[in-house]
Amino acid sequence: MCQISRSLSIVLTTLITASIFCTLPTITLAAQTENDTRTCLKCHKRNGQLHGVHASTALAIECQDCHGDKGSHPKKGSSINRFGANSPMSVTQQVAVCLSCHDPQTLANTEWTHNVHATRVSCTLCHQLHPEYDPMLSLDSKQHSQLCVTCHQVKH
Amino acid sequence: MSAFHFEGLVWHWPIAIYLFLAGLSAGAVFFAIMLKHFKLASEAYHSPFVQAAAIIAPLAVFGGLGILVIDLTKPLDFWKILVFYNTTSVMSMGVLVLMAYQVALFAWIGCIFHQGLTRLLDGRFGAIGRLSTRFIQMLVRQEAAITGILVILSISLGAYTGFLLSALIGFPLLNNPVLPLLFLISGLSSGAAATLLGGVLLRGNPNGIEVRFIHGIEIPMILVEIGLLFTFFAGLILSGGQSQVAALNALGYGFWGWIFWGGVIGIGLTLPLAFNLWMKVSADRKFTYVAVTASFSLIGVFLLRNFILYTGQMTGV
Amino acid sequence: METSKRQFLKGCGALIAGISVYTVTKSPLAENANTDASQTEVKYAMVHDENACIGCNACVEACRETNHVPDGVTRVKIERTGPFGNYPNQSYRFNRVSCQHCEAAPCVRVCPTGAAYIDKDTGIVAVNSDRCVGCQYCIAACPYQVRFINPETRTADKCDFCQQTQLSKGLQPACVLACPTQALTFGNLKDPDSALVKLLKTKPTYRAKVDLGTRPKLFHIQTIDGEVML
Repeated sequence: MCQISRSLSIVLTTLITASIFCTLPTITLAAQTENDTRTCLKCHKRNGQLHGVHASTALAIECQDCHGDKGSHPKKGSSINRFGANSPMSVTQQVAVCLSCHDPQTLANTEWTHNVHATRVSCTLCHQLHPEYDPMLSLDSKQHSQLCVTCHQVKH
Repeated sequence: MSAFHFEGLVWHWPIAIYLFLAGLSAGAVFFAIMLKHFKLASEAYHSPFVQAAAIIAPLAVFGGLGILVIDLTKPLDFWKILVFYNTTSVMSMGVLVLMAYQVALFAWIGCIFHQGLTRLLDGRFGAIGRLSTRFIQMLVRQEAAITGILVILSISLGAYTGFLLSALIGFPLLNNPVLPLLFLISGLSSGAAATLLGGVLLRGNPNGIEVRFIHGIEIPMILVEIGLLFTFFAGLILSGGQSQVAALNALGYGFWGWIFWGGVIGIGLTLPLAFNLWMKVSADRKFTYVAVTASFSLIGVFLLRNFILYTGQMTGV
Repeated sequence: METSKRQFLKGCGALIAGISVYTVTKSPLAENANTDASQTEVKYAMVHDENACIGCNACVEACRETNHVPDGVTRVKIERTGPFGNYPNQSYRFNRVSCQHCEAAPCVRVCPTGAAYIDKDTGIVAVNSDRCVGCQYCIAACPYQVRFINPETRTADKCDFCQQTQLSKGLQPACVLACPTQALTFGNLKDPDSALVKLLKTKPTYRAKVDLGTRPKLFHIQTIDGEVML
């Protein structure tokens, strides 16, 4: 009796520990092979590759950090985060994902236009973080002003 | 904000040197004429002080103009300033004054040293020598007129250095009616100092009649200069607005504050005034005394030109 | 006989010298200054609507390209102040800084050679760079600080409403055409039907530093955004 109850308690402890592990979101990614970068890249070999600054190993960014849990993707009813003009997410929701790491003040100091677009435009409308270089980082003054003109052009 | 490089700075130190040298030239001539008129009369030509003024005045005005020409972005086109005139431009009118001043200056020098020049030309250089001698004789006959014109032109030149800056309406410290007067008086005192310094360097008697005459004018002139500086800045502060900001910016702190209080007021005005007051009328004046007092005056005026030029451009309307 | 020949030669010499000085002295561009000033039918001016301006600098870039303005200097600047308000609801104010084409232009008054002049036919303040010696008096005299030395020509340079590059072809100034939000309106002040005059009569405008008596012709429509500043 005594023996059984001891082994039972070991089993129970293991089960409880495991269940805690499973529910913790950060550890989920590591624990569930279904929901990490490698899984995504099985299909998104080309368009899923992350290069450039965001791919730095020190940051250890997973697809899910920005795009959220896979959920039912690629089946219907998927809740995966998509960015850009056709995203079902609101601008504020999209921007919030970037702002979880980036600080508005630092962004403002680098480029004043960040301030006035914060609630109006998603970051990804100008920035691309998957390619090796974000084109925004190497704009000359002429390209910079043309970028403004592309959206702000008032029809004659 | 650095003292010599800041936003909105257009004119740099070469202009300050030019303003200094033009005022100095005018002042030296003015005092040489006064010396001749009131003290030396026909003995003027062998006074080392008049000789010094006759050397300093042309050199200073040439040096100043040289600096001005080099400071143009197109120095080789400087002749266009001489050919094209604009009656509303202070600079254009100043160039006219400068040209006339130089002509009158050389005519006057010719008058003063006519004996020596005639002796030098006598029987030499053939026809040119004879012609020059006759020309000098003609000048001597017109000496009174030449002297009168030169006095007017030297005062105009001294004042012009101030008007050049006071025409800049965008800078309240420069666009100030007292500035031409201040520059005229400080230019005259720098000319006096240069004449004294040059005179004693040419082995003039530091206790001579010339030194006493110039020192006699120097004390009232320093007092007038202090009065003008006070009026200048009091006027700016009382005007309020950007004028007040400009005045307090200039006097209040930093490098130029030190230059003003230590250099312009301290070395340039207070020390020479103190030296002059300590030196009793009866006491013998020594070489060192004259040379040091004159050098301090010169340093003070030179610093004042730089101070006004730079702090003037620091604050716009 | 001998004397008369000498006198004749002297006279000829003087005449040639006189004519050459006279012709050199006349400014080729200021030539049209001879036409009666009160009769002119054109007086160009510009309005900058600070509410429409987004600070994109398209005007600056267009000006640089059209007028071949070298890097490091510019004929037009958009000055930005701000941000006003708290993140993420912030705004900026934009102010066009360029030649105001003053009716009583300080630069023209101080120029010793007449290189800076007002074109009597159009009211444009222009630079005759052949006459400019680069004394920089005009740069110091301009209260709007819009003049600069062009590093290529080494003469004073500034906005001339694209007089040579656009107006002569019947086009509007490059900045006006480039502005995506139509914040710039250019036109003839003397023409009551021009868009410029209509705009000036419907919206309150201000001009910079009028207390200096410069009578500038660059009008601004004040921003209503941002906080009240004292």
